[in-house]
Amino acid sequence: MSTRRETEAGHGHLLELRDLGVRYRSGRGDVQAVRGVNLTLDAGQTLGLAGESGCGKSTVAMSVLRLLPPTAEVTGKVLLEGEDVAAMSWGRLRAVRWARGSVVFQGAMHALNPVRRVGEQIAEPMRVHGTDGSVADLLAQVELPVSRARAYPHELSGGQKQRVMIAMALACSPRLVVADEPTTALDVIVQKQVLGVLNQLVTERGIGLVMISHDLSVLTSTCDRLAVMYRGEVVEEGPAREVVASPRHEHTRALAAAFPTVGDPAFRYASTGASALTEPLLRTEGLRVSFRDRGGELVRAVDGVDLEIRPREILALVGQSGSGKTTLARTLLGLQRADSGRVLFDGAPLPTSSRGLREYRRQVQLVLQDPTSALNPRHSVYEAVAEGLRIHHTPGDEAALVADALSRAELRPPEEFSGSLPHELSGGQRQRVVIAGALALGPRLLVADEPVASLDASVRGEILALLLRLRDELDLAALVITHDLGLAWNIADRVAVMYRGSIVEQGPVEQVLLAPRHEYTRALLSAVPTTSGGSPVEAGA
Amino acid sequence: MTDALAPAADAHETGPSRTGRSGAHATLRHVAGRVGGALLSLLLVVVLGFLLFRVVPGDPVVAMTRGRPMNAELIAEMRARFGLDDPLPVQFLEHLGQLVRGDLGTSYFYRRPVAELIGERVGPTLLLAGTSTVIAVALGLWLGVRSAWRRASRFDQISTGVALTLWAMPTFWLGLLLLVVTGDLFPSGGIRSSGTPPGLLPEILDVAHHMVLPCLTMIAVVYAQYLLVMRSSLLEEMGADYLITAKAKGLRDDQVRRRHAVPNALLPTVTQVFMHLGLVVSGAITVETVFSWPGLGLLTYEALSGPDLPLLQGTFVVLAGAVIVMNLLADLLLRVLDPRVRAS
Repeated sequence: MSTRRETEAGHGHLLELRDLGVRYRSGRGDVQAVRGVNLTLDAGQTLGLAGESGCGKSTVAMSVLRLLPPTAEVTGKVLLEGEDVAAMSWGRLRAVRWARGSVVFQGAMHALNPVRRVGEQIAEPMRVHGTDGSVADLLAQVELPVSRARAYPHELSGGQKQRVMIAMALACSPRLVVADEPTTALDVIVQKQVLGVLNQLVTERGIGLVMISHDLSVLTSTCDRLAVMYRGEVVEEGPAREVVASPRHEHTRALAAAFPTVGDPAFRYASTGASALTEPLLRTEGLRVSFRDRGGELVRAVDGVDLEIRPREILALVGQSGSGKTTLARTLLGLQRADSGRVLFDGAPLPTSSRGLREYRRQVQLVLQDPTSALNPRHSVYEAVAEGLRIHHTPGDEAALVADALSRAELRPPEEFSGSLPHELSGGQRQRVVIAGALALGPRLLVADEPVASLDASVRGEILALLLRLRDELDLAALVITHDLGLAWNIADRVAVMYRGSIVEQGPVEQVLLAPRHEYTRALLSAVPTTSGGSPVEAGA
Repeated sequence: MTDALAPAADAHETGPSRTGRSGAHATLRHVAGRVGGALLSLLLVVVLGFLLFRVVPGDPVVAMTRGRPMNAELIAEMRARFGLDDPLPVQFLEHLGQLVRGDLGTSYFYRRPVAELIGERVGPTLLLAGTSTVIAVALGLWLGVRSAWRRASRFDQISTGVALTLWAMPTFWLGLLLLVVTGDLFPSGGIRSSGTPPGLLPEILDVAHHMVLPCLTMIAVVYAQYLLVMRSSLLEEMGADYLITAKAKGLRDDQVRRRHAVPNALLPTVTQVFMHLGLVVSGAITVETVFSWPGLGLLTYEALSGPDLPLLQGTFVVLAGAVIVMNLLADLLLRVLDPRVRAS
């Protein structure tokens, strides 16, 4: 701690960005990614950097250790403990990297070398910088068993990989840690654990933490101060709770609005639900699915599930990753065979013939989480939508059907989009294309796997509104699979909570989310970070 | 959808001991499966080799007796002696039985066991193909790494361009060109000259002298494949996020390349290299023919012009077997090198 005082006294701030600007040069013209950013951070403090994808927040993170690609042109100053990063020699820069400031990179899956043991990767910076320390201690700090050091990245769960990244970032006891979306791919319970680890480090070791996220609720629950970026500029900065409680800039307001507070009626978009009297469109009875894992051991992924989805109903299936939600969805779509139990669609059991299954899948369409990987990058929008029509030999004018589906997905006018390739579209537009592809076949049920998880905050609301409108216009029913309880609160009529293969609780949204009966539902709800600080159960009750 | 594959329980509970034990089982199963698959392919090769050379045009007896006075009786007798008048299934069973005993039949032309002939010729081919492959792989990988690391530089453009040009050249043409250009510097064919003084060193030097041109030809034609594979797989790795992590850790550029990028880029390359290795032996046919190098390639060429059916079948099985064995090795090696393959 004494060293910290000295640096504060001697050099001022731990990290200071002075009028930072970054411009990417490219053949198609320059892009000003960051302009005029002024930020400071002292040891023992946490600074949140919020914004949507493309707002320049990751560019700011990379500029701290001069990790930007050669096409980036940096203006202004980045002062790390008073020393200008841009003025450092290569040798000096390498000595500073990781030893004084380290980064927890976005997406631990890709930021770890896939073919090296994680223990080696954690030890590597210690070897490079000649610092003492043990991998076992570092793993203990992030609450991982020492035996995990011998694992390869693919053998770890998402949360474990993220902890390995944090352990690695701490290897050389840096004074500054920049965490770029450290919890984005994690479900709420693991997210809470990882945020807990980070907070503990700040209070116990007095490091300075810059936390970057698009999720305001994550930032307010962990950061002292908050800076909101929009189009490369910091549009608002101040104490975290103040910024969120009384946002001055309209973009901050939009960001805040995108993360729903469970229990707040203002975030409840669903209005008309299905009548309880109608016959269920899809029903499962005692569904069981198990498969053998690599060690030959039997895993019960779905263990006795009874579900009902009525016409015009939106059912949210919530649970942690690994709880069996996706396996259940695959079984409903006939992509995975059930060991026992039945799936009934319209009162009839799921067909087993390939022809019958094809007809069934026309009526039950899937919308995947990540539209970027769900679309073939070389197929135009028209091809993407028309493919399903061709497979199912849908009668009628193909072009008209495609145009109709596109305009229903609100890609209007359709002619403007049909020739585009996926990379020319925004994330929200891509997800609309995926939805249009599903709609073109005239389905009666949509199965949507995390339909907005990969989308920006501002787009999220639009896609949800689209889903609700489609339900009203086309009498569609939907099964929305998500770990995001806020999403369930936004649009679902009913919620089913899945835990270790079983549905532990299901019922109307208000009942399950505001007065949860099962312990696990309560645990899920209490792990949701909120902008107000209190748990949603208290807020709603 | 990957979620579905993760066990419902947190991976915390799965200790290393369990994964180790089941991993060994899985490895054994995997190896057994691959070896079984390779044996099956080999059997298919034998069947195909047998059928293929029964439908090629040209009657071997006629070819063998060309230029000699023959009558119908003599021809019939020869056919009976070689078993050519039996029905095809009988011939095949006979053939299979012989193969199991390691007997590849007797060459029509040389009147000697095919296995013996092949045994004599394997050495020179392995020497030539082995030497050129080692050099070509080393050269290709090294140039590939440098090209990728300095993508679009002058070096990249020139080395890739030259490699592609050489690759596009017909082997025999390049061989003949080298012969013409080098004039009397190197022997034009064979593996040994008659006037070499006895002794190990002079003999080695003599063989090496003979090997220069065929080796150069083979290297020039194949190294482009290794270069391109290495270049593209390194380029793919270079976009990977973990290289930024390595850089951020304070590693020097060459450390990032040596410790992280190249080892990972080598993984897909290994498979490709081994696939090519199997083909190198058959690729030697042209080079050996041009330089009269007394190896398997030349033997195959001789057998083809007959057609000397047993010899052709023998070389076919050996050449195809080489491809299958190399693929098997590539499969097993990749499993050792890449933990992700072990997992799936």
